[in-house]
Amino acid sequence: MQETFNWKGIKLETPATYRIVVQGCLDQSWSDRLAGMAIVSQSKGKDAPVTTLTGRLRDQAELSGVLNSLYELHLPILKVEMLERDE
Amino acid sequence: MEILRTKLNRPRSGEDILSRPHLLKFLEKHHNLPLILISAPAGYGKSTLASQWLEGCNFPSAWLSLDQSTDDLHTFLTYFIAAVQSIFPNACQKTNVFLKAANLPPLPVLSMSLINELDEIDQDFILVLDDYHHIHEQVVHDLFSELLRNPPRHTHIILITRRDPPLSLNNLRARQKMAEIRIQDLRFAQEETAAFLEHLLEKRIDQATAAAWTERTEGWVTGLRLAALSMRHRGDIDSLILEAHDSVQYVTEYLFSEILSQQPSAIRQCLLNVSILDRFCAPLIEALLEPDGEQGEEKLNPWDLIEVLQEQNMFIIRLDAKNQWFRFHHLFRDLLQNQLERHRSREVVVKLHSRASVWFAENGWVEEAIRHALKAGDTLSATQIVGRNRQAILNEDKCHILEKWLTVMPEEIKQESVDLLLAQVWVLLHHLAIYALPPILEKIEKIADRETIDISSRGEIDFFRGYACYLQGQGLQSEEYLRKALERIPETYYLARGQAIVYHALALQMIGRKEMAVQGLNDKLRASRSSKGITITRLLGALGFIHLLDCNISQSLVAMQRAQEIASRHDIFYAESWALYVEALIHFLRNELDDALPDFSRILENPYIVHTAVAVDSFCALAQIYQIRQQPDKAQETLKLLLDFAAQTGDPGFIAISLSCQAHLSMLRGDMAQALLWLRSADLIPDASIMLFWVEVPRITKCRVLIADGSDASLQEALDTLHKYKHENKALHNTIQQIGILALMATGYKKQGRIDEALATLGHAIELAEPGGVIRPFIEPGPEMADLVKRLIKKNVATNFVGQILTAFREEHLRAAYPVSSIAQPLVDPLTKREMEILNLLAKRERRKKIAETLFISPETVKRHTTNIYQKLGVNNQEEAVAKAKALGILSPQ
Repeated sequence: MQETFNWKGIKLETPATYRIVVQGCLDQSWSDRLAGMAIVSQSKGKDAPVTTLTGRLRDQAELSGVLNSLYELHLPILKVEMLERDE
Repeated sequence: MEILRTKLNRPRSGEDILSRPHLLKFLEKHHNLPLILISAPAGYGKSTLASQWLEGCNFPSAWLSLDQSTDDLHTFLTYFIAAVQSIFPNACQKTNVFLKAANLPPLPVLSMSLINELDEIDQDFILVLDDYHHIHEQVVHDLFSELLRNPPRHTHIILITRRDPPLSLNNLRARQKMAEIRIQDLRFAQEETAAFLEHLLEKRIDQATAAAWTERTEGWVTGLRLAALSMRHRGDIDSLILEAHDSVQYVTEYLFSEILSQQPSAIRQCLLNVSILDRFCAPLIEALLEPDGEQGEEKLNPWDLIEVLQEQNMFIIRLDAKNQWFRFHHLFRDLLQNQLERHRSREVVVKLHSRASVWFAENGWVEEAIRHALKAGDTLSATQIVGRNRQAILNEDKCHILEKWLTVMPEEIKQESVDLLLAQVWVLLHHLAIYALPPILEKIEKIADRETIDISSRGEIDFFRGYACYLQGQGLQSEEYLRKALERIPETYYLARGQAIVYHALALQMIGRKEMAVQGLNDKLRASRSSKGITITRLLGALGFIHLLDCNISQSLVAMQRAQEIASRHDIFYAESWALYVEALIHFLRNELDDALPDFSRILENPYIVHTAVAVDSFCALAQIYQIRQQPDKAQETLKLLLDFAAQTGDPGFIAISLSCQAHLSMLRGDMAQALLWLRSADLIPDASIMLFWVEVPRITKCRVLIADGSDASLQEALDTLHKYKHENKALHNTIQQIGILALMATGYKKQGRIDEALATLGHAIELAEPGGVIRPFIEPGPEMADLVKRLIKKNVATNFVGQILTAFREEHLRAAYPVSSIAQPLVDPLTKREMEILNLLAKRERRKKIAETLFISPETVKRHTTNIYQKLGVNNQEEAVAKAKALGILSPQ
């Protein structure tokens, strides 16, 4: 098994900024329950509206929690991306 | 283990459930598969569907609602088996016994046992596991995967979950071992929406409305239900909702707050209160209310509330047949909790949790009492609850429950509270993790120095100290601690007291006050007529050990046989196994190997249920017996099982013993190279613990190998070491081990040419061994010893006993010379019928004269026949004749 200390990468506990795009509308008031992420909804005309959540998550557990909450809110995931990580 | 029966009851919702025939048909069609998966987010009617189907189906069924509490292997299995046993009370009994053992066996053993026992059920049945998404423990998933890999014939599982579980689902799909119902299947179609709303609102719903609502809620039945509830009150639909473009959860939240605001204030208040509970009953609801009623309002009758909720079908689910316990639908509860957090202060919520905690504690639901106390941030109360209930739970021998409570408590509190630390010690003891005791005991004592703790807890500390001292061979300290423990532990705490009594007796024996120990135990036995079976078996066990250590074999047997009888009657295999072990050990020591073998084998049928040390020593003894009996293959087989078993415990002590056994067997085989290799490389762990009566003691085997090696240096080292051990065991009054040590020393002296010392030592050993008929330690060292023993006979020492030893030597020699093979070999010149008759009598050791009388022939005729027999068998005497005849299969090997 390769040693991981040679790699440059993140760990489960590394905080990082994530952007999650879901289909549907979500109000900013949900931010509290979603790790304080910034929530912006956008209508797409004939297509379904889209909401983008952006924010710093302290670790993978927090990310998993947010993704799970979005699932329970019936919001299909369109994209999950790490924007920036803490060194 | 305490089971919450409510987890096993099939939840029943109200009467206005829409029947969904196509889904019911689907379940019917696929019910004979090992697995049906129903996977969709909360509120899609998964549980309702399963419950409805079960109501109408012909098969016996069981239900298990999982939650965070069942997220560990032990608890999961307990409930799983309880669910199966709710249909088939006698199923899975062996697997159930595993749950009581000190440690769960490795997963492959556990899953195989479960699968095999489920396979024994010859009737088709359905088992529903609801809310499987609460399971995060990988071992539980692994167990389940095993179950699905080798599905028992008549077990059909319905797994209800919000998220697909990490099981090899693709594999099952490919092999067509599963069916599934997913979001798309559970969505309401337009017709269903219409039918549902019509039923609830008791009026016609037009197509357009049905279509709008289906789209709005995305066919999500909970959304529809909320809509219906709101509409019932309004009288009509709020068309604003239908037009907005917000998503489902807006609809949900909007409708929900509408419904709440439509309720009378008292009910609304109550709903918010109750939302903190996983389950509730009327008395509990009452306990949560303000004692003086909400400012000026009429106090709500909880029964009324429940009735209202049921009538309106407000997401309330019945949990038992007696209509006592209920819970909310998870989603409804989540929504209520949200409201609670938004509209009530933290202090209010804390108060609610505190009241809930008090109610649960008063009514004997300890785990929930703890959870609520912790949610109220009241760690002190949580600790006190554990403290108050600790003794009772231990008294009932339910250590696993105590362990469960501890897992709920935060780490910091566990380190600070004497009660919790003591609980941890009991749990460690239960798991036989003795090495982990000292650091915790130190911690406890530090706290005990600073604070005042109650007498009973001091007594417990004394007990653990005494216990640890005993195992270290510190007899005097041990006795003192244990005596104090008995002064301090109250009668009501009979588990701790019972243990203290047992170890106190053992400590007394260790310091040479055996009579006092025996008398004490006998007094307690007489006094405890009404005690539980397990207490009596413990007392008898202690008696058995004391006599055994003292080499008082017959008394030991009496006690152990009585213990076995009681244990077997009460079905306590753990206690029974100790009795079996001692009986087997006694047979072994008396060189009655044919009797020892089946007893050891019986213990090893279930090595994971018995005390680990007993299992390990039984493996060692059994391997030795096979080797002595010239069955090297079986010996190796047993050794391999032992090595695996010991390795899997991860305990360095047991691993050392298994390697010692390996070396010992090599020696018996004559493979000195192997044995010497072990000698040089073995890390014999400065084993400071006492030798007790174990068959395999690495330190002694080391000396065996040194003596077998025979070099001057080795012999001297062995003798110096054995000399030390002799004194140690003498000081501990361990006669049993002394015999073996002295016998070895005699052999060593002989090899050094110091015959007089050898004979003196041997004489001493024989003196100790004779009353109990202990022979094996003399046979073990081999022909060197035989030679010494013969010299003793010449000196007229204990002739009877010594004669027995020599007979045993001869028998062993014969067995080695004429090993019993599994294939009968016919003689070139077979024995006549008459000759066979005589041979059978010879096997019974009959004298010539007696044989003559029995067969009505003359002694001379007998002599003639006997000579012929010897000639045909190619032997010189009666013993050889019998041995060879058995070896050839002419005589049965008895």
